[in-house]
Amino acid sequence: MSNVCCFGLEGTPGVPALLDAIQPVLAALRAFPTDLDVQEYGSKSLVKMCGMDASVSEPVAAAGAMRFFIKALNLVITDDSTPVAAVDAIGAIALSAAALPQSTTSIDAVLRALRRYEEESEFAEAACKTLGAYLRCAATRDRAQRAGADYAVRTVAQTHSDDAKVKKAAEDALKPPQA
Amino acid sequence: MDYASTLPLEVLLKIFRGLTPPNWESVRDLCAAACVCPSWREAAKEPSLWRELFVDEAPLNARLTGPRLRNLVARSRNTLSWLSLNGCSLVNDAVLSRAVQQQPYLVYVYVKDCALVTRPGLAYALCDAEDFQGVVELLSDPRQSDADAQRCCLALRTLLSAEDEEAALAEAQAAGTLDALLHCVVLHAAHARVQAACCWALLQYVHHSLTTEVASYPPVFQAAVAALKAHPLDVNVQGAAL
Repeated sequence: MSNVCCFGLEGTPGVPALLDAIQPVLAALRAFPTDLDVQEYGSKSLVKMCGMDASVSEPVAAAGAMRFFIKALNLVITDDSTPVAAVDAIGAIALSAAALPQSTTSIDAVLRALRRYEEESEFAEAACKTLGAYLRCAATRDRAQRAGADYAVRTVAQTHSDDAKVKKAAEDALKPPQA
Repeated sequence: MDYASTLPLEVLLKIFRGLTPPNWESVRDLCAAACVCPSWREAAKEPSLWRELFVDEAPLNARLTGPRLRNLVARSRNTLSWLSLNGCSLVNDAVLSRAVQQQPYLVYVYVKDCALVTRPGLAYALCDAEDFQGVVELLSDPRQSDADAQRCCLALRTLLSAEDEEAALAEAQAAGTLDALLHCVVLHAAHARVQAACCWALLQYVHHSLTTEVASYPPVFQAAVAALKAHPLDVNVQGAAL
């Protein structure tokens, strides 16, 4: 599923089919909370589905996807591809109305994971993007700043000062909030 | 006092499960753990620890002979579901053929850089046909049993994962592989292992992203969603479909 979603809406039977696929994917995340393949590719599929059409992220958040992404992020594992997928997924639905009440929890989870995977540039980039989404949204900026997200992004930018992708993600995250 | 040997079997198994895939060196780690003491040796015999067999790392892969492969496969007691061999220069068609026989749970076979293994040979070992045309004909037979359909899907995935991807895909398209796989998903909807093997084959088909037509993707998406819905508690199906 995550492979065919790479090609945008053209690779799927359309938005109704995407909406129909949300529940089975979430059921998989719920049924196999410690299976890294299921968690990684389930999160990736949902990220891609959210990216295809703006109307998809709201139902994904409303179905309670955020708690599964946070759980996946909190798994203590040595491999970093599952946490990267989980952070991307948190970012994809971060600003959906249904996910806003959980923004404090998800910011905390991302910051905690960032301390664990600080050295991994791919994770650092994904975390900067997700924290940036919270920092640049007027509704969540205050919560993100109180949790120290801006400080964490600056620290990451310093740690990965020779990585252009992380630097760019950090700079974008620290831009002034959007209206 | 030897604390390691006093651990209850259940606790040991819980620890040993941490040594199984996705740990790429699972075979080496499990074999090393089995050498520690008699109680660990006993725990390491648990068949569920050997269901997913990855022999990808040096130096174990270069030393894997036919008897050793048979020995490793036998530890799963016919519950092997994944077999991945990379750089196993001593393994040939006949050895692999014997290893994958009598494995009803097998849904994924991956072979790379094994000089003595040919894809037609492996496909033949799996389903008595050695090219796309032959396997698709077998798969399209409505009298095909679930177990045979599962092995046909395994063979198709194996043929699709050839080094020359473009040529393999062209041959697969000419033989009508996608239609046969999609038909198989519908026909064997109730059988989880066929669904898993079929989803892995479909994944390999759409993996050729530069040459596959995007128009063929929507039915693959639908097939994946159908498999997810039909078998919500089967981790093999869920992993393959996602």
